[in-house]
Amino acid sequence: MKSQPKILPPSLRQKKRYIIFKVLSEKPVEYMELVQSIWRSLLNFLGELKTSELNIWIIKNLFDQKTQRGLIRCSHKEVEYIRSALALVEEVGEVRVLIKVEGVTGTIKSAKKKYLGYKDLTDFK
Amino acid sequence: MKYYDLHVHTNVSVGENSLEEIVEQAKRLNIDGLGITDYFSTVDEFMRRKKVKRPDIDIVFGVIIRAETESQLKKTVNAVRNKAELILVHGGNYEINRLASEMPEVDILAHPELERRDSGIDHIVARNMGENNVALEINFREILESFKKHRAYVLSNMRRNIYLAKKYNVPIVTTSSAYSIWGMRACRDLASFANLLGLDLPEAIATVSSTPEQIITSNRRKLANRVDTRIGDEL
Repeated sequence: MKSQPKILPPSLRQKKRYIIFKVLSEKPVEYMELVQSIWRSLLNFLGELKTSELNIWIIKNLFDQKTQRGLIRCSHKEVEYIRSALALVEEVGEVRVLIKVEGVTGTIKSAKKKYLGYKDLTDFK
Repeated sequence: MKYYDLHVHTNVSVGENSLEEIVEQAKRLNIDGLGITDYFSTVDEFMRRKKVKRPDIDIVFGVIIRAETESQLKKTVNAVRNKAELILVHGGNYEINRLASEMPEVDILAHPELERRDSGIDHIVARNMGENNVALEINFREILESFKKHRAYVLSNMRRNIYLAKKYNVPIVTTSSAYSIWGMRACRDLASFANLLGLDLPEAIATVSSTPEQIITSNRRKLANRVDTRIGDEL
């Protein structure tokens, strides 16, 4: 038997949205530091309870170090909460930054196509 | 209305306080029924346990089973079913969660999301729990002892489990799972957590009153009759 739960049928899965953001900063920021700052902002601004409702996931392998763009997965009803929390991020590590939301999509595929500049969509890693 | 807290540890196993101290604290918190659940290494140890009778508070003597393998779980459940008034299974491992959900002899699956990144329950486990009347536990200690990011994850997983439990009509109980008297809370306050995690207020209050009461009365009736019936059967 698998030691992980099975994937739920589509009707029981949580509905998702993907937020594409771009980090504007004086110098490029590291992924791990960025994640820490975002989480700190979420927990300080929204608290533990609301953050637990967001179903948030910052996708590691879609953060592009060169263009400083990334993707956050969240619940489809809570997009505005995350936008506001992202707007409150001021510093990553010791670099002053601001995070700009470029768009919201329903799938990773369309996010790649519209915002992340993927031409060839056969590579879905 | 009677309030029950079905998962409290004493100093017989991992807890810090004696049964008398816990009972005193329960009286202060207006708890009407207390489920004393401890880890035992043998069945004899459970039978030797000092069983205190108190007229003012309903004490339910149960066990919590922590099994590493499936066969171990089956064996232990069969050994204690005719002796204990309450059987909890220490969840967390998906295989154990699933097996416990398939056993009508089990009363409560405790903290299926313990030390996991996912919620530990899928639609199959939830459906089995509904069919076999295995209750899902909302464990207050897990919320109490986690903080910040981890607490957000724990709450999120619990919310997932409650959503599935509602879909498949799984009974839900909220417990304090206290290790000491300072981990215990008034049952009505525990119900507020169930309310925040996606249950309506009457349903949330039922998780600390009518649902535990039903589990206990049906178990006691079966133990009194000594008939080898299945827990999942209708009352």
